[in-house]
Amino acid sequence: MTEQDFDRFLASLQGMLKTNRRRRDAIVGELRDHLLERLDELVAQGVSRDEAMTRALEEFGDAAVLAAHFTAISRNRNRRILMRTTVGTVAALAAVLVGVVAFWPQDASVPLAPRKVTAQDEPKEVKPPAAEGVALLDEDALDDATVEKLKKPIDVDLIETPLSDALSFTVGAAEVQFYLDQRALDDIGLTADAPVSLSLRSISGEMALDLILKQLDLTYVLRSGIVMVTTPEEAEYQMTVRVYKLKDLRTEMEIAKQSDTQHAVEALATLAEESQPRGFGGGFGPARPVEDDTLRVPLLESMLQLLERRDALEATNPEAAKKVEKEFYQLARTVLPPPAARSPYQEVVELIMTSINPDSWDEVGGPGSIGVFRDKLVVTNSREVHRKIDDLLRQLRESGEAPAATATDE
Amino acid sequence: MTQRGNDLIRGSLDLMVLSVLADGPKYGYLIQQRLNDASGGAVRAPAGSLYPLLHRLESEKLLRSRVENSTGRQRKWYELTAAGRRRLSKQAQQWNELAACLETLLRPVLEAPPDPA
Repeated sequence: MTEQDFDRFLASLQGMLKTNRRRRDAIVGELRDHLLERLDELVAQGVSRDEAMTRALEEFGDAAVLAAHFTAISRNRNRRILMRTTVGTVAALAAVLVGVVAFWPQDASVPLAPRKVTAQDEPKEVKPPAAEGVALLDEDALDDATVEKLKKPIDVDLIETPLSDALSFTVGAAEVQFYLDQRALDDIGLTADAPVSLSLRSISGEMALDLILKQLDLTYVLRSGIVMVTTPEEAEYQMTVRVYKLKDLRTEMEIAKQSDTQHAVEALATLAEESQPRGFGGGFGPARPVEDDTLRVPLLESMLQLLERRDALEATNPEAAKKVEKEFYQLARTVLPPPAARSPYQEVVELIMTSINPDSWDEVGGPGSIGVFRDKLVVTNSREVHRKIDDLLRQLRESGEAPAATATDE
Repeated sequence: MTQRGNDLIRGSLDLMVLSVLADGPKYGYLIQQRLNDASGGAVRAPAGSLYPLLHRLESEKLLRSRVENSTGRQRKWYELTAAGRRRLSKQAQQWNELAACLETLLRPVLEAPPDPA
């Protein structure tokens, strides 16, 4: 019995875990810690090292059973997120459609624009296509208007006032509609009569709202400009999907091209070495990666050739170099496993996940998800997070030397 | 019947894990030790059940975790979320009531085993 047996056990577990790589590594790292800790303890008790290793492994049980347990959880998690985004709101679905339409490349002549044709439709009623992204922008515009209204200063004087009245006095006074999520309140044993107190002069409606809700461990989300008061847990379910265009960020990525190339080559090398079958994580991989190694290896070689050719062309003919690079990425999509680790926009994804509500992403057990689809970012999360992403992307655009010419209003 | 038995154990293991975490963050191995110690060895939560359970509770947002790398190993610390705390106190109360009810019902049974005649 050697320490390699631990590794063998963990490797076989790793191979059987049907989830994305990062989660898989996290699980294996955690279990390794457990095994080593158990080993230390048994050895400290005077058990021989060999015996201790055998016992530690035996206590763990069968790798396949363990993997099945974890996989079931991961599947449930995915199902739950799917449910939230599908059953959750028809509006979310509409937003995706509109979002996709809005960000569809212009040359694709908007194939997804739904044409409403009903029996009563008269030819003369055919209107010019609505401005792209109308529904989506409306939602946001309504929310923005509400945010503006809530900035107005108000005086608040509440003493043991029932929650619903308190909201009327503050939010209602700012001419903003609100809705109490009665069911969520029930869940935590609260009613609309729960008393709140607050006495402050000229504070913003938003601040008043925050301070009132904080007293009851509640929070709010904006939906169509309406303040929905609910529990933090429930708020997390209020998720919407949006698509962000990243293309104009790309020019900035070019700066890091050198290291990109290195990353790609490293990735290619590791990939070529690995013979283990790989699972496909979530994400928005446009094509299923080629699994057969006899097929994959020559493809990898041609990818490397493309890279070399691009580097050779770079100085003399940048236009052609760009073309070759495009080919490389196209090929990469079929050969390499889904985008996460390899997308040129991965940095943006990481930036968003670490700087914007880090707890809200599914990598850390939160409800939100993020993925890159070609040059678009597909994000499922709360409206609050979407707003922050908007801000962040705008700042990135403004701070970079990226020519604004390619930037379209999202 | 078996199903019900399993549910009972599964449900109570959830609760046990939540209660072990009530006094602060712990990692998997510590949780296992604490369960073992608290029950005088009666509750054995093998790693094969414990870790999937922890991950499930985390995905249900009852726990949150953070990974510590300082020891050269990946140690994952779990702690209760607000929702986890609420679940714990709610379930603790339910169990308390259930136990009281069972106690009343079972006392005569324990004191005088039913006579088949």
